[in-house]
Amino acid sequence: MKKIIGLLLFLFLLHSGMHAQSPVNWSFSAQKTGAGLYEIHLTATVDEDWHLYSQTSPSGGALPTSFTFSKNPLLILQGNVKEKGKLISKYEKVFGMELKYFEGGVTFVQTVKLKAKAKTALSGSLEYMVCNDEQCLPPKTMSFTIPIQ
Amino acid sequence: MKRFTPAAVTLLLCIIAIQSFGQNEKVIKKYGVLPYNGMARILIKVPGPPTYDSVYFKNGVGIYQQDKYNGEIGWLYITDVDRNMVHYLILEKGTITITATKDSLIFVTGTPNNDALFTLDEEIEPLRMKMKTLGREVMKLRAAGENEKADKIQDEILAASKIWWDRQTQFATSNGNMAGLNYVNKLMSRFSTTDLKKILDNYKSFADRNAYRSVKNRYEAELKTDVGITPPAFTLASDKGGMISLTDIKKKLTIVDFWASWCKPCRAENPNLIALYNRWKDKGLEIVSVSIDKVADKQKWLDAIQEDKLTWLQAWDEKGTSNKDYGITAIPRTFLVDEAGKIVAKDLRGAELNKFVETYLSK
Repeated sequence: MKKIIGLLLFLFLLHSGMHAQSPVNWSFSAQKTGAGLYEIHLTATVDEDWHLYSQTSPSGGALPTSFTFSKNPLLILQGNVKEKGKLISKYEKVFGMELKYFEGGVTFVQTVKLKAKAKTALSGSLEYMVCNDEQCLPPKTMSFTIPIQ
Repeated sequence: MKRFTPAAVTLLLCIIAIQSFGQNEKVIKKYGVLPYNGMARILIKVPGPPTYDSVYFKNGVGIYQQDKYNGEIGWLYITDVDRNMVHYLILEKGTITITATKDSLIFVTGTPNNDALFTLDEEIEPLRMKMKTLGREVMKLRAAGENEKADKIQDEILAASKIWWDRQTQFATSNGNMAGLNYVNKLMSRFSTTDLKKILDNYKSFADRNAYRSVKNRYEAELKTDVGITPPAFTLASDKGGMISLTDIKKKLTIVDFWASWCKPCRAENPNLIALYNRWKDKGLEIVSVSIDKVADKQKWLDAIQEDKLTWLQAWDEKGTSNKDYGITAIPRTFLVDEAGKIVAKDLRGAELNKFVETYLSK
């Protein structure tokens, strides 16, 4: 029992330490935009001088942000995930290509249509990474479940 | 101890209120206020699920009455205006005044630690905006093929950036308050294990704050690879087939370099490592690059070795075990190991690394 408590405490402290250091924070919400239509907002807030990569950033360089949505019979995904933010394009000699990224923050938007009037949620995961001029954090995967309605 | 009379306390509070009001006025006068009316969110950096609060802005000024936290760090963001408007907030008890300026800067005043942040901001915010503006100019010039002009401005940016970093580092190590501790966290990777120990001593009165605990966690992880310690052993797959064991390398000085194909700052170091290796490989230098590319990215790793023309030992930490053993949370990271297998230095790059290698191998 003591071991379990010790482990939990360790994990808690480990999490708290890492939490205090992460330069990215994600928040999720759903907004109704019409009859049965919702906009899912996946918002990243990024600490100054860190870059978060666009889905359109070429794959040979830093990892572009990507989203995977779980199948839900009540939801139809409409179109691709759109990006609302100030996109910066920068040629990186190291990769020999133009990387596309955001600073400060970006909101990724996925429109969904609700097939029937019911309480449901959009689940899935996202993968992303951040770099500044001096270092990069390894790619991270994050799961989400966003209640709709 | 003399007790303050209610009148004296009221007077003191009035003086403080007027002072903070005065600073806010100063900001508006100097930078021009952004007449924003709306909400801004505050992310509170405490362990557990994301915790938020909000503040309402009227004509570019938000008054945040904070009495819950006693020295935690918050991020304020005004995404409705500009996604780049993110700023630190020290959550200490009192009335915190937040001003949004015409240039989309945020200034925070009104309580002791936020006032301390303000004095730093007055120096570094204009520098940050200058770097951004110059950065945009560089992009335009390069798009127009004006590379010489772009290079010149790039140098200007580097010079401004150095001051920007140095001022923050100075602030972090010399300010013994929550504002300083905030910057310690921000600049954590820049501090050696010895620096961290000093910092933990300086800030020990804040031992119960989360911003302190994260520094302690980092320090404890770094002790595992402290100077004088034998670092964790590894046996990893080589790019040429076969395995590479750290303990099998018996050179005078070995650089263990954690990197990945997707890490720009890591790969930007490679030309320097090539020059360094060519100069000292016959005089006792070995380099082992340890890639943390995932299994799915094996080809990207191999391609990067080819593209960057790396000629030294290339190891692949495909399972992430070395990553974990060495406490790597960000890359690049370097660990310099002597003939006896002990760490003699770490996190040296560029000119600093060159100097160390030269001194060490010239002995």
